[in-house]
Amino acid sequence: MTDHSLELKNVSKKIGHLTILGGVNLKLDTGKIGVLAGESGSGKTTIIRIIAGLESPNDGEVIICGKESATISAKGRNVGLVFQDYALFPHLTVTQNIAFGLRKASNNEKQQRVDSLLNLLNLMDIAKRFPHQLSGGQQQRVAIARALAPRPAIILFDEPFSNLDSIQKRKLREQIKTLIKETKSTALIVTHDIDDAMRLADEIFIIQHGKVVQSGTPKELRLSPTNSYVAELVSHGHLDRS
Amino acid sequence: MKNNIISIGLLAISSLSALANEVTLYTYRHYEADSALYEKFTQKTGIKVNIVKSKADALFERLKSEGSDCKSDLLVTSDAARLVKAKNLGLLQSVESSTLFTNVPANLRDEDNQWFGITVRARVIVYNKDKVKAGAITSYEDLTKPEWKGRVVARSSSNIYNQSLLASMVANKGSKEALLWALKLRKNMARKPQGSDRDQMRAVAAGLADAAIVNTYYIGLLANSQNTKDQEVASKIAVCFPNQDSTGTHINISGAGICKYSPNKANALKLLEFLTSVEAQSTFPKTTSEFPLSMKSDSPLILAWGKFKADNLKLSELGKHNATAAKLFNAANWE
Amino acid sequence: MGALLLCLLVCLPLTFILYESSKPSTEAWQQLSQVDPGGILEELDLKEEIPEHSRLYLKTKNTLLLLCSVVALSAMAGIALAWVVSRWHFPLRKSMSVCLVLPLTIPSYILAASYKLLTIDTKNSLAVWVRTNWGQDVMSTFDELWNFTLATFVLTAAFFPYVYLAARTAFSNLSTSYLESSQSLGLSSSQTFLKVALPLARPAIIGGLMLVSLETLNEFGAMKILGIDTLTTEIFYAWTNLEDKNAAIRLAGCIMLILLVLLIAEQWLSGGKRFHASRNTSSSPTLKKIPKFKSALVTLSCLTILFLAFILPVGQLINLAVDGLEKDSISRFLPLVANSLWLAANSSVLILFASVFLAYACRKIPHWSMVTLSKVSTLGYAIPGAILGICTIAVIGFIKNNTSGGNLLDYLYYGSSYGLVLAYLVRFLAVGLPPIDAGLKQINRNLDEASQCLGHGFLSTFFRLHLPLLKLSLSAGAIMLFIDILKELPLTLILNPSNHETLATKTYSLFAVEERYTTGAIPALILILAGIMGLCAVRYISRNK
Repeated sequence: MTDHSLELKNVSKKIGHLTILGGVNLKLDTGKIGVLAGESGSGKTTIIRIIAGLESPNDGEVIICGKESATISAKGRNVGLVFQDYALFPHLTVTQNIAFGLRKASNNEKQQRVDSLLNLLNLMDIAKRFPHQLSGGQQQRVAIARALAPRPAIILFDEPFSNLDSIQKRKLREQIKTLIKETKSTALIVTHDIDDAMRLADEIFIIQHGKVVQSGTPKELRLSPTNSYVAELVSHGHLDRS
Repeated sequence: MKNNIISIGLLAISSLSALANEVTLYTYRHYEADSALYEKFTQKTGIKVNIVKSKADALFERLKSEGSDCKSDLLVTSDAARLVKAKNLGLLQSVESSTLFTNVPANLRDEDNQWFGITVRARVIVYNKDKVKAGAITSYEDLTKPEWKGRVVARSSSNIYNQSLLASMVANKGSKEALLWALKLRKNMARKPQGSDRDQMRAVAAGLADAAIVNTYYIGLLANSQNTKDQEVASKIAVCFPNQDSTGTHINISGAGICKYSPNKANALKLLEFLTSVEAQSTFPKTTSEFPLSMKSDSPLILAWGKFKADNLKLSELGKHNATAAKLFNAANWE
Repeated sequence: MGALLLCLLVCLPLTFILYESSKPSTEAWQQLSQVDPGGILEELDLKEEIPEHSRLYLKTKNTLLLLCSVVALSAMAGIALAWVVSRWHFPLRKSMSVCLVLPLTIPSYILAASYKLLTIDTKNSLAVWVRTNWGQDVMSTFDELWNFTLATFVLTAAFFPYVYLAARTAFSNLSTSYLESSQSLGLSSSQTFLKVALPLARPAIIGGLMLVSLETLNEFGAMKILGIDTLTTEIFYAWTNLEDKNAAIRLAGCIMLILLVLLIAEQWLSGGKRFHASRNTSSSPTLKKIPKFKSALVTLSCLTILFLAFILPVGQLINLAVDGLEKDSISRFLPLVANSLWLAANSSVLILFASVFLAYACRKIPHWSMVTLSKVSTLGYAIPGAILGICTIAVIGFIKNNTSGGNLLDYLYYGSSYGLVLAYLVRFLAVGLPPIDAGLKQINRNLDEASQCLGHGFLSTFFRLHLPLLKLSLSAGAIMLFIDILKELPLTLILNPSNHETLATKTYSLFAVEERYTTGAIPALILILAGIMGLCAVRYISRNK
């Protein structure tokens, strides 16, 4: 048993002749926040979908909490995923959405867990509302609470800030960071914004063309970029050069 | 749950057929009056009557598909041609019954005793009393004369009663004469063939045409209708039994035959004998306005029509020429 | 795998049709497809009597003409009514919006019989008048024209609600912002309708028109009553008069061919431009205020259409039934009500279940073959009911003779009405599948994945996520199925087990066979009432959940 919550070994994915991931290796320690940073199309979303079990790799190992998980379905992996568009269930209230993943808990436990999450994410006032009655920021928080509810071994965020304005985003960024540290969760966040990455991450993985080109703490990346791409990226701040 | 229901059902069926005192009939007679007769039969004999109503040809398909594992005992349908068809398809069996032989005249039953008539109807000409003098029409052939141009109506040739009428002409006069009759009559029609026999009478009563070819019981049903409009129509028309000086008026039957693989043959025979008995026969003129097999009835309508000479052609001939008749109608462009 | 089996079951009759059609043509087929078949007229030197066209040509022409006029009229009525009801403000709007679906509850053969009774005297006296003024030939043409017009009218009245329902849903789901942005761009309201609303609602409308076409193509009862010859009536002619099943099935093949063209046209019309219009989230769309005079006119037009398609024929039936009730009591029809409701409810549930299953299979296995298979399995709707019945009987016979499963089949088809339920499945999958399929497509796949990540398996996701989200589509499908099955005649007539009658078969035998209109009006009215109650029930359920 290692103290890595997550380890990917030489994970590759092809669709037809197109190589999406060409042998990805990464390790993330328990309780740490990792960030996958890269341009759109670099394969970072595919990585977290593979970790969540929504897609299966053609080759390589996915080890979650020391367990080889490539053969375990998404249902059994105990990995939380916060979708880019939140994917809240439109027919359920905030409370019901959060309780959705608490299948095996008793009613009492469910109640307690939901209440504590509502408190934690400051959702108490809107507990009975339906998703379409919420603002973007509120939806985001519900999605996070829902993913956290079953106490996942690792929680994955797919572009968590892309739908928010800059003020909301700054606020939420800090909130997420505190939340993850408070709940002692392990998190992997996908973003195309290097600024987000530098502020949130314990460990950053720069993805280019389906490979991890460099990994390390924000400081390490800034001080010793391994190639010009990383160097330029870290100094300029934004990845999408469009 | 569903499995349970099915197995219980299967059990129920197998136990039923083991000790059932019943008879199942496949019928193309949809008259409610018939159901009353079957109830009377059950009261008399204690035999339960199961009824499957459908179109004649659908019933034939069903019997064919069932094969030796037959569910039906008696096949009841209108028109001799259909009964002949059932016989030719091998769906019926021969029975020996002196009761049936006495009750059903020879020309109204199969030579091999596979089917028997139950009721009789004649295909006659009705005309508008105000426009046509009594005696102006004496035969089916009269309607093909030039003076009748645009004055006749009839229903579609896809109707089996028309097909059987033409088949009788093929039998009596040969197919060329039959074709010429259909061809000329079609040209004398006031409109494209359409609707039921009642619709033809309505057209005649309205003055759209002066004469029409219809089955007798339709006249009776119209006259006995609760609807005042129907009665009015009936009062405007008169009936002519054609071809009294030659072949006689074309008649046809509703009839029945015992299915080849009938599981309750004895009961089926009892029911068939009952249907041809005086007790059952006396009801038909009152309920469906059909003639009984004896052609004698005290029903006022049938008394009013009086005695007439019926074509004594063997009805099995109708089945023989049925296919030819269909082709001739098609050639005559009679839709 | 299960989906494959289901498709196979449904496709069995279709395969049978293809197989039969591929056999060499028979003499009966010549009767249908040639002028002067067998040269009878030529032989008798009656060449001048040889018609210009074959039966097949004439019936096909009739069918296509009828199809075009019914589809065009239904489109106009359905779309216009849906638009005013969902966008304009006028008196009685709400009740009109609901009541305009009511014509669906009247079976087309009852509507036809009712209109024939209503118009026959007028028609006959008009015909006489035409003859006195313009002569025999004009009268004959007048007669045919009248029949055709009446048939077009009756079928339109019976089927336009399919278009109306589809268009109404599409229009009221249309986001107001589209319409407002269009008007802010300077388009007039009629331009907005033509250039924005109509194109956005097109897929739904075309779906509704497909149903109208299918119903028109295999209409038999009403055509027979109104004296119109179409390919479907010709099928019966070939089967019962020419005694040739092969020719009959070939004709069914011809109808399928027309249908295939329509299906391709549908794909081409709506498939190329599939857009996901954003939905209107506010529950009540803003209604446009229109001038008083205009709004009165709109109310009046709606009322007129409702009167012609529903109130008048039902009034006529009530009038007849009052006479009929003097001699008959309602109570003897009550067992039939139970039979009909049991059949309709059971079959609807089964078909919805199958539809969900198939739509789900398409979602899970989005391979083209699966999608094609599911499309093909809806073709059963295009086969005339009677032909489907005959094919079913033939298939049962074949299986019984070649396997040992006879007892179960016997039970299904002769001992119970489960066989009928199965046959309905084959026929009405086309009614159940599209709303479910559309509903499922609207559920974002992310939701499935979110549910999976939260530890929910396949079944749990289905019951806790998809089923609740499909509620509206399910209830929409249920209305259509329930009413369609309640009205269904030819299949029921052929596959009914013994001593089993439904409201539809009873109405048919009293109304069409015995022509006892006064008595027949009683079960006809009960049938319509049951349909209305079904509509109300579904409305109630979908509102409360």
